[in-house]
Amino acid sequence: MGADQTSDQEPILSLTGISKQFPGVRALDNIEFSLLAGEVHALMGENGAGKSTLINIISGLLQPTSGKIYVAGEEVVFASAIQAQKAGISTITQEFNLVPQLTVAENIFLGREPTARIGLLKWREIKRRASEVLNELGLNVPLGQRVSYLSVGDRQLVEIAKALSMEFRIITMDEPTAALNAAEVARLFEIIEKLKERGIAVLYVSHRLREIFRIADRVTVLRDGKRVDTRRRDELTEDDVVTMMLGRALRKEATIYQAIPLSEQAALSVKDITLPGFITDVSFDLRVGEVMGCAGLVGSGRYELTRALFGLQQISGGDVEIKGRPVVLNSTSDAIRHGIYMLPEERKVEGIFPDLTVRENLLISAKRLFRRLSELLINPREEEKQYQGIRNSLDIRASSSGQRMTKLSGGNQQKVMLGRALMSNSRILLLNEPTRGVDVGTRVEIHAVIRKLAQSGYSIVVSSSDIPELVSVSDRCLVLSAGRTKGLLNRAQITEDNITALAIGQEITGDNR
Amino acid sequence: MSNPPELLNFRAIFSIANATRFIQVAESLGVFALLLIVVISASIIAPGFFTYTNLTNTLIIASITAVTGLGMTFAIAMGGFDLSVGSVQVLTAIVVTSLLSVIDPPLAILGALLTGLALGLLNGALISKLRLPAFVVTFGMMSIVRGVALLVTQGQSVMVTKHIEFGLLNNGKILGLPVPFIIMMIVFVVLSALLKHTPFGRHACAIGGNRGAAIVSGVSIDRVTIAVFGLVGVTAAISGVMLSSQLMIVDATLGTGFELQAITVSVLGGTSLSGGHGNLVGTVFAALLLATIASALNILKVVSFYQYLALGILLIFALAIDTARRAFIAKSLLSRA
Repeated sequence: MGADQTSDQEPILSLTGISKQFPGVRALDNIEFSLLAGEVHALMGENGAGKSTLINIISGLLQPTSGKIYVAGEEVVFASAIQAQKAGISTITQEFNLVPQLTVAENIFLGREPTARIGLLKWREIKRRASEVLNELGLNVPLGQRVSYLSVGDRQLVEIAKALSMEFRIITMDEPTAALNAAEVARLFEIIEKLKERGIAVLYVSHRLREIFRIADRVTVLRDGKRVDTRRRDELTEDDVVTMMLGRALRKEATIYQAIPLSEQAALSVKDITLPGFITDVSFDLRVGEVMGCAGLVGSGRYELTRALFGLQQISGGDVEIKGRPVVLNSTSDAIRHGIYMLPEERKVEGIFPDLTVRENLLISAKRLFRRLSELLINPREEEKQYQGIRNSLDIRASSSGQRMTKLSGGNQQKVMLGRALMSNSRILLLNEPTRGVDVGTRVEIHAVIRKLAQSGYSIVVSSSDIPELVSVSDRCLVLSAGRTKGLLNRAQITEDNITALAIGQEITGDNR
Repeated sequence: MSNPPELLNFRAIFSIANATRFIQVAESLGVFALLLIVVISASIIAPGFFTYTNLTNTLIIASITAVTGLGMTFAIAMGGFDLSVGSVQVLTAIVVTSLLSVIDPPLAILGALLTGLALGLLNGALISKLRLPAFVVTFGMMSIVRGVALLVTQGQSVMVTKHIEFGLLNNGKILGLPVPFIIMMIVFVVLSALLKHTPFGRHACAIGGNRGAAIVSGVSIDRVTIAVFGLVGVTAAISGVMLSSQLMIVDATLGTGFELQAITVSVLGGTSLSGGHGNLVGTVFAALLLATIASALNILKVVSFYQYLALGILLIFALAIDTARRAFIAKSLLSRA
């Protein structure tokens, strides 16, 4: 099964024998890879398989220890990202390279603005050429808008427009859909189709199998730094890919959910709460031992709802009751005191402490400041014991409790975050995007943990943009649309179609009810 | 530790913990090596440098800077800094000197420390409650406190006339070591314990490392901020008391540029201005380095104005090293994930 069996066409990019050695780790081992003009080539693998290293080598951020890179048949050496760009390779990552204070048009031409002879900017030309590119992509973004006001999806499209205007031949996309809603994903895919028509090669990295099967022409799977195989998509099934990634077959997600009788007792009751600008009159009872999914598009108020229940945003009306008693949640301290804990959507932004160790990250919410004399000093032995307990029950792979948080893979970081919630002594957990940026194996593990916690009496809200995830863990599922309750599905009604329909504001039809 | 895998794991923990510690020590060693080079070269080219009297003096001067530098390290670890420490130092020096003519030394010292604490807490309260940047608040306080110092002294000097034994805080020896050095070591031990072994220190580093995450994790940002600035105020006040006992006569023009020294020793000692961690050992070595350079320049009869040049160059040098180090770490992290 060679990489070049599909066509006799000369690849626009090809890598031969690429290896990358880091101190103590062989991140890539003798990788063969090729990218054809006009194809979407998906790169898959679990965290730590070497995807990011490979992308970084292609985009010039890292240099291979050995091996050769050819662009359109010519051997190249990239000493920096700029050299890769000059060779026609654009990399679109989750951290955008846009200047938020500048407008869309300014960003597209940043650093290579057309100027008149005396060095003045040719504004008219900038605008004309920017609107050409945007029209071509079918993008409806005002040229004069500052990028900071754009949604994540729009920003990404501006990056693509920038790449197009620079006439890049190769675009690599690293987890492009991680922060997009369903409509934005659909729009991105349309644009990728257009890129293909123009003969641009797209290297697409994603954890989401379903997306790969929607748009990829070929799939390359890496495992432990080695290429497992490269195959045409139509020769593959989802199960094949998973087996290639894991080196074994996956436990079926469907087996995770096991119905348990729903308790009548409410752990948390929300009555007609309103958050100005985000949430209007939302009510629900979260029962003891229940996993309640929470679905909704970007802008539905999903995240803000959990933030309000964790005391990070002020509600302007309505009541919150815990076990029947009204509570006031003005701060995170209030929430934790009442046994509520929230994990944030963006692990990097609001989750991890990069400078602290794994243990310190795990236990950051376990200690209240200036409350009890016995908590004045940290007891390292006690903490080590707590760490070992969580490490074993969540199967966290860290070399030690003193390892720096940034050295862990995304999946293990997420497990530490989950551990942090458990160590906060809270019985009501609000989990936002619990498996974002996490590989398939860890995803299943985390779902199993969530179910197990519910069975042992935790009450859990899982707020997620990942609808299959909601289907696989929820006992009931609340669907929000534009800040209002659109539906509360019971287990029998929870299907991807029903959730999607409600989230985009439709009613679910009689058949599905 | 009954089964072998568990045992293996414990071993791994120790080796990694040791490795992390080793890196930290190595970072301080950088300053330490520089200090060693400067001390040796000063001993060779500046006759009179390597004498008991001069070394003692250098140690005393270093200790005064180090005490505030240690407090500053805490603030920098939290992602802030305090520009008012020079003014607080001089005001508290004036407070203790003036009080000595009316009350006993312990009470006078307590008065100075409480003044420093109050000013620090005020800094922290303004920063957290009014949501102002530390730069603006402490810059303003730098001027306000200096103004208060000038007003209460009417621009005159204040002298220690009663309780001359107050000078022992400077000249005294315990186990052959100068008292200021002992004071500095006590502050070092207490702050090290606070930074590494209390939730307070951990929360301060958490705020400096990722403020957004600290908020979401339920860390009380306001309380920690206020407490850290209170701590910096106290260390500045201890430096003020030490300064007063060293000079026995103080006026409101002392201590200008002290904030720059305190920040420099922190950064030079390996504490990154971007926050997230603090290297207290490094701060102590850097304070010794700074005092040694100043002393050598004095003995070599270099006009004291050059010391400002040296300080500025060191600060920029330290920042350049910090940036290079972070770039290196970022590069090595690219290899992961």
